[in-house]
Amino acid sequence: MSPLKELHVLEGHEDCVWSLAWSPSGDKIASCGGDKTVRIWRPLHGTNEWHCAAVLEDIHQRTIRALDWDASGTRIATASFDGTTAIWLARGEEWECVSTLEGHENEVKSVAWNPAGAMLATCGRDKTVWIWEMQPDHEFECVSVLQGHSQDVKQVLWDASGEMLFSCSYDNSIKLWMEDPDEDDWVCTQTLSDQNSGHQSTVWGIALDASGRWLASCSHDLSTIVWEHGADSAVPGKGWRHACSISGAHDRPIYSVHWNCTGDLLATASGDNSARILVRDQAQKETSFQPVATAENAHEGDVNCIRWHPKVATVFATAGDDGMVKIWECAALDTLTK
Amino acid sequence: MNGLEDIFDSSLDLEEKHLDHGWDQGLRDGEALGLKEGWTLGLGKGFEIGAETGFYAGCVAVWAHFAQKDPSIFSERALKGIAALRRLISGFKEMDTEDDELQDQLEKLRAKFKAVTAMLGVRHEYQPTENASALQF
Repeated sequence: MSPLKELHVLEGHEDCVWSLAWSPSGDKIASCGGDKTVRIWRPLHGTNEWHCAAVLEDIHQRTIRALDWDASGTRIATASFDGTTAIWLARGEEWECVSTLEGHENEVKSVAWNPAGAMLATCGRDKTVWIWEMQPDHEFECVSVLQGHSQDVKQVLWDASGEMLFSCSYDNSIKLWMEDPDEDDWVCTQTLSDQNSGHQSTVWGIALDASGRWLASCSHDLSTIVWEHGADSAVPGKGWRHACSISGAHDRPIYSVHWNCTGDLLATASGDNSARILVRDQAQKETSFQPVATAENAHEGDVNCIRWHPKVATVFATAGDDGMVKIWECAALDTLTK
Repeated sequence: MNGLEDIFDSSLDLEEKHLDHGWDQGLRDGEALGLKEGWTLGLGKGFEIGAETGFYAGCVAVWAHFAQKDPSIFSERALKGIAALRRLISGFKEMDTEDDELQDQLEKLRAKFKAVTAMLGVRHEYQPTENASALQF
């Protein structure tokens, strides 16, 4: 009895799929990739058959590397190698590009809406993280350009309060940014690098669990690290410390990591074509994780992105170099840890 | 007897004497050349940084001039950004060139300039022309 079941295969992209995002309610998936399009997938009304409901195209000139759905489910932001970020608005079943943000000097690698949906963070190969604020009529004003990483920035991520912004980079570090009222600007409050037992190579992905207490990061160094925010930390934005390192689960770079909605399962996606599910080892006093399920050859090629369903703790989706998006179901936690 | 020994003594360590002499001369010449190279590099680097920060100062002067005439043409945030840029530029001018922070401050200045140009919707980029590095005296 396999603990992982492939539920649906979404075919349609004409090149590798780099990233995917579930809609806030989990009724749709948006994916993007090398074919410069975003595809919106949903089950055909009244059925369990997933199909492509919309194709968002003709805006970006190059690969769309990442996308993010805002909390209202009506806007999607896309980050492209063409150096721009596009904002798409849902009009019924159709989507319209209502704005384009310019500023990065070259490829934009990630984009994230803050929880309130009023601000956007982007990052890219120019080593900077940009924060934008939405104005009336979908105009965006640049709030700040954050310099600090010494290399390509791979992903940006907000915490649930919208007060902390995380970024990870080719420079092997993860940085935390917060607004400093004295400086009237965003500043880096903490850097997690090999100085605090961090990664030895590019950090490809980061994920925060729902409680905001645990941060997972995955890397080119073949490991996944879980960081903990000390409850006793008096100064916000400085209390992160290394909790545990997970090695041996993958033998190729790990490109994506994500916590499920209940925070008890961690999923990783790798260049070894597999997706792995890890569970916290409750028996150990110290934080430790055990792999409990693997989808070997989840894709015919690198698995670039893995994302859990926002509401269902056992369903997740993956995107790969093979141009496919797949939806999977995992056995329940108690079955996995038997 | 002594006279004979003296004559030969001086030729015994002739090689060593020549080595020492050569070493001293080399050290002196090397120092002089190094100083000259260092000075040229310092001058060049200083000029480059001066040209870049001068460019930013010039942009700020133009924007500040228009903002003074009509503050409503820029957003609240852009006005704050221009003021912050001004502070950063004057702070930079006061810096000790030996200060390790110099590079960090320059990066901060560049980032702020990028942010303000994005806020204003202009695409000013500091692009030094080829001539900037061809110092002629």
